[in-house]
Amino acid sequence: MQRRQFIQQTTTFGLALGLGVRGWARSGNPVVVGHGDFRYKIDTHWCKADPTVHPVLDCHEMVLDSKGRIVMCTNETKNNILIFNKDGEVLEAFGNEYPGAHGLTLFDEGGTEYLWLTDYERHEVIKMDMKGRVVLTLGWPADTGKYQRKEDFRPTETSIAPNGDVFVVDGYGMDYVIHYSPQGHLKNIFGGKGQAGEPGKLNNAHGIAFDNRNPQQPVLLVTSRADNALKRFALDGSFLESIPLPGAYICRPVVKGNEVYFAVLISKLPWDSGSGFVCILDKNNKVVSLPGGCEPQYDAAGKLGTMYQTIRLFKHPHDVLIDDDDNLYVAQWNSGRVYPVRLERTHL
Amino acid sequence: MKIITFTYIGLLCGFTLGAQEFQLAPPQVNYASPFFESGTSVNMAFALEGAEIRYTLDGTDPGPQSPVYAGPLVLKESCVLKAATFHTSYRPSEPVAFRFFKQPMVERPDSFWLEQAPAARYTGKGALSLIDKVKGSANFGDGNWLGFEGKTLALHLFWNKKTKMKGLIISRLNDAGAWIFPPVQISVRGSTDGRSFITLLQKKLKTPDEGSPLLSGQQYDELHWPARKLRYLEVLIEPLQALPSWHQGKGAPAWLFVDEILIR
Repeated sequence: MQRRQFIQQTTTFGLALGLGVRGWARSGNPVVVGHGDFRYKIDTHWCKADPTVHPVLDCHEMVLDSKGRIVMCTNETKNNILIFNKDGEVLEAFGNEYPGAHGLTLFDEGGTEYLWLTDYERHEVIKMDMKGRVVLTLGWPADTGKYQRKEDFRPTETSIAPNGDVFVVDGYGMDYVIHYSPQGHLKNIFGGKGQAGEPGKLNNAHGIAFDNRNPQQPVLLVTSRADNALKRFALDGSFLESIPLPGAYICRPVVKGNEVYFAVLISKLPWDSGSGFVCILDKNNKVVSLPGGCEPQYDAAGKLGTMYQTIRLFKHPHDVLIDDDDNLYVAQWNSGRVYPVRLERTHL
Repeated sequence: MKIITFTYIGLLCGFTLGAQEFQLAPPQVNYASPFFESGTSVNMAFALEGAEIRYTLDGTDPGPQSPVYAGPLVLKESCVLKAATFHTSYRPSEPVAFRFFKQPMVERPDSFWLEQAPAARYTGKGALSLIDKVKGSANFGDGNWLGFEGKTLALHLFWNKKTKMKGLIISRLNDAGAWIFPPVQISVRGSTDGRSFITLLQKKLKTPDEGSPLLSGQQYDELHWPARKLRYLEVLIEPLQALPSWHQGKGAPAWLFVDEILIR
């Protein structure tokens, strides 16, 4: 092509590109979701895993280790545990024996980290080191007198207290909270399935978290997902309070700083409605932000309005991880084998 | 030349379309009952800053030119309300549709009973649930739905006074994943003296194929017959006796879920 033509065309291209970029900056601001102080930009391309190398089925739960790595469990037995770096690259993959891999908690015992995994198909809780070597297994709690057979125990979550005591919730079985010593000796059992709204009872006790936000009175936060409620119990199992979260079928509570975060699996039946979002409570357990959901509204009497999805960012969020920069990672169940999505905290 | 032009168009499109990566969820729609006598009020909500709800009442899908929702809608005629949400930073939601039925419905029967009881967990308030005009929700365990596993729903209605009737509306729920399928036959028989009955209508329904939208969600069957004055009515709804071969429960009887049977 001739020199004059080339200059003309390059100039045109340059102008057009310049206009295009200006146009983008005006009309294409990256989407920001959430409310109040808890707002995020979405990065759906965070995870760099190759599905032909490191496939997933349901991404169930995630924890952050001391090296800042994101450890995730999936019920895909090709690699039940996947460990990512902050850039979403797979660092390690192991675990082939956990078809019901569901709950994942990390606990640091005097400098050594362990993973606590629940498996609702094996009816077991498994403690393993960071390379997947099993150090302890808790089977079905026959000696509580509440269980007749192994199949009734389908644990969904564990939480480890600072003294090493283990709390297990049987969220897909009989909805009990079972309290063990660090060595796995039974100490207490409470909760159990009940009628909707029955205080102290649980329906689909999907998750549990040790809540130390008030160090004078540490409590246990237990999900009662089918009731759309979060229940608080003292460490001895006595029931304290039920916090209604209408419309939110919450997964496990995750305490970070002064807040509690939940992945909300759905906000309306049926279970595959794809109507999930993320829920964030403040230190008074009031909803302050719903990334992907409606603006949270409390009426004059302090009653929370029914929550619902507004943006189809997620189908079925199953767990939320908060890193040390307050970014969120959301793992999903039954959403087309998708990998976790990253939400970058923005401070406006 | 052409390559450069197409590249810049591509870049331009890439920048501006990036913001529309996500779609909105549909609006919340609340109302007392889809069945009304003179009028009813519909409330819609969607608490997302900068979003709008647009709606139609003529059965067409709402678009950017449809009226914006600004407060409770008062409906005075039977219609289909369709609503969707819009926002400049997101793709519009799928429309949601709700049918509203203006009566007149006939007066409540003087007695009503079911020939066979529904399944133990889904008895509702018995035959009363079918005529109380209290709509069931999407949750078929909410106490307003009657569930029948493979058994025929046979509702008997009786009026002391001869009453003119010309049709009915059956409100049902489909949920193939929960083994709840449309019925295979609906028949209605009527009588003036309770001894000799005539068949007013008999409709066979084809079981939908796998993946059909008729296998999931609220459904209204509206059926008519030439108007007659009657005192007795029998409504028989027969469920599918054997789930199709593509279904995980193949060969087992399907469930039938009904919350209202209203006579016009």
